[in-house]
Amino acid sequence: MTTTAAPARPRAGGPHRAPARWASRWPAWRAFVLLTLPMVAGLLLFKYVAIGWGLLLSFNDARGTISLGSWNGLENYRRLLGDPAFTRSLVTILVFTVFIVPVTFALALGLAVLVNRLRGGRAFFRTTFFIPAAVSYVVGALVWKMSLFSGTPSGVANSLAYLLGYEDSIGWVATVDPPLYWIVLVTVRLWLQTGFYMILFLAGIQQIPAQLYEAARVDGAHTEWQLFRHITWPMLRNTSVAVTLLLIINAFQAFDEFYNILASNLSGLGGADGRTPLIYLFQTALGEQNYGAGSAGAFVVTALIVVFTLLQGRFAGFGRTAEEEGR
Amino acid sequence: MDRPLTRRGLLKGSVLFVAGAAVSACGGDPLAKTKTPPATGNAKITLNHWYHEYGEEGTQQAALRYAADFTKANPDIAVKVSWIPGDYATKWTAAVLTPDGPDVYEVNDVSPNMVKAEQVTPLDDVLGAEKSDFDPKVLEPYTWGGKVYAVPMVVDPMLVFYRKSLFQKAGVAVPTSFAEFAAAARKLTTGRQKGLFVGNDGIGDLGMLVPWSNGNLLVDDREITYDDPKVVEALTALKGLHDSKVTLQGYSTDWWDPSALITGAAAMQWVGMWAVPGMTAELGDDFAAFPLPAFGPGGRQVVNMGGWVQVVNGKSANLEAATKYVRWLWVENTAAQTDWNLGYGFHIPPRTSAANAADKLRTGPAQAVMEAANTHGVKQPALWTPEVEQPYTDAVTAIVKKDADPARTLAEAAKRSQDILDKVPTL
Repeated sequence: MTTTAAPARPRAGGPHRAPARWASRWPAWRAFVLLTLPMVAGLLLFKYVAIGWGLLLSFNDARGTISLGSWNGLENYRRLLGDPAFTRSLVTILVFTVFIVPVTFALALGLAVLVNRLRGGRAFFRTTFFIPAAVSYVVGALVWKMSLFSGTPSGVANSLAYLLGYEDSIGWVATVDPPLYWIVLVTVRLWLQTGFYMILFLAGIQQIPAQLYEAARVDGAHTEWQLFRHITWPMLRNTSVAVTLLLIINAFQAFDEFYNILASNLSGLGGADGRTPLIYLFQTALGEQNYGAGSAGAFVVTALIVVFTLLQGRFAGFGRTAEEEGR
Repeated sequence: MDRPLTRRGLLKGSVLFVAGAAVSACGGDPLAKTKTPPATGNAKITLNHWYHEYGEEGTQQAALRYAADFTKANPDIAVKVSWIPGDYATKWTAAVLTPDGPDVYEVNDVSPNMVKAEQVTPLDDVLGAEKSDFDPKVLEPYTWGGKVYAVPMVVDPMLVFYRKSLFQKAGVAVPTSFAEFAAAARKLTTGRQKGLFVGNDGIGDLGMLVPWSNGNLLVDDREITYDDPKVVEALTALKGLHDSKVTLQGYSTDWWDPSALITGAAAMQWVGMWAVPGMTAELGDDFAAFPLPAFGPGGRQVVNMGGWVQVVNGKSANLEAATKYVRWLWVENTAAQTDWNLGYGFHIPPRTSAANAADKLRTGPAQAVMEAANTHGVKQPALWTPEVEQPYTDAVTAIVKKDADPARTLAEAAKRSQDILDKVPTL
């Protein structure tokens, strides 16, 4: 990237003017401190202190307590990684991520391109697709569980199956072999989040200057696919990378719909199938009061998210400047 | 209006409005559904008392009434009742870690870890001379190192309820073995009616109860016993029941609510005696109950004896007032106990004398349940904690739903459960 040289500014002052300049800037500084301090203090107190405490706690035998003192080294980490239930939950979430991220990505991008091409009614469709993003995961999960995929003959999915000639009512959530519960979990998440990412893509698409398309047409790009492949897709790179990043983090943190759809007892959290790491940790920390192991697990999951994010950044080149890119 | 609203005026107005809203919002209690009984004006101490959300109508009002009565008798002590909806267990476990946790709360089990963390306190003095009036079998799981840490509030027998008319129509008799039970469930599955409802996952507590009915309680003191041919046999039969697609799954309410039985979505349901008044109101006398049948020869019939017990937070700042309140309500105040156990849903009053005096439990289906509970009641062993249980429930799912090899799966899970059990402190 080249920048045109800025016009030479009149030399307003040498070093001796510095204090005055500082003084004249002070009100701005004051405002800056005043406005950011509550946020920063809150962040320190409620996030970083808590995270630090959690890290220390993960090296303690903390059952039924969150005070430090009963150090047991890496025992909690050993316990977790030696527990097939936890390792299985990690596999579950990896599979879920590998599936849900590309599917949501493709759907959101596809919808954005289609909505953008509409001649009329664009606002209507944009709103329609976006509305689910305003619905809470809990509400969505309960609608899916109790109305759409209820196991009773009157459930929507079962009514459809009945119309198609399937006589027996299917317990969608309870059936793990074949794993029908994934249909419930995946569709609810797609419905809830696709609209949001569609808006991000739409915003990205609308930033692309129209001249580029005109120029491409002049240069011989005739089909819509060519335009998409050579203009839209490369111009959306930053949006794509950001969307992928958000999707990965969201997928790893899956909890709400899994918890609300699969839990079946007053304090139970569902079975081994569809148990995500966060559900496992919720059970460990709050169900069994083993806060040490719970904290250790939180750091294992965080490490996984960091690794995935870094890998993704490496492949997609997020955060690299155009100059670095050019080299 | 002759004076138009200026920008500054609007700003000032909205700032005042937001500030006012914020101030008035701060006055509220963050816990929804919390109510303080009236007449607590000059109390010196306020006790926090937590209940899970009992489903029966009138229970919350009753809890508030008992608290108000206690304050009337002890003007120094006010009681704030919190009615906790939803996932109660995770809420109290988090709350007792803080100084603002409940002073008095209810639980199903008291584990050695809870004792060690002082989340409970010995209540032998609270039970006092009346201790002998409580069934020792009921107190036993709450006793550690010779001290009793809980006062039972309600005893809940759970067993199989069924619709008499549907049994008659299908020509089914009350089963006497698991094979007959499964055959009955198959026969009762017709059209849109399923034979049996045990929980929305299709297994529910049967994963634990069927081995019980085959003579294995899964754990014996500090030893895991479920790596056993008897359990293999029980779970293989349970898999047969599951594979025959006769259990109701994914219903709108779960097993503790009798709706599935009332609407006829299922002909048999595993549910507790608490549901008897509700079923009587809807079904008249078209229902009855039987214990889970003995698995086969050498097995035993099973009524699962659950219930809630009251504990006092060992870290409570008002330990004395809290124990006084618990003694007043759950030991001395037999009128309140009878009201609590019989006025809404049906439960067995934990005090033997009160249970014997309960006329409501001497008629109709409740009487049959009482008799079944007295002869076939089984209380879950105290060390079968959620942590110990988890490898087992995972194994049950794998065996029943996913064709895993029963013996090998159980052997692996038993090793894990034993490891976890070995780490539970000895008191």
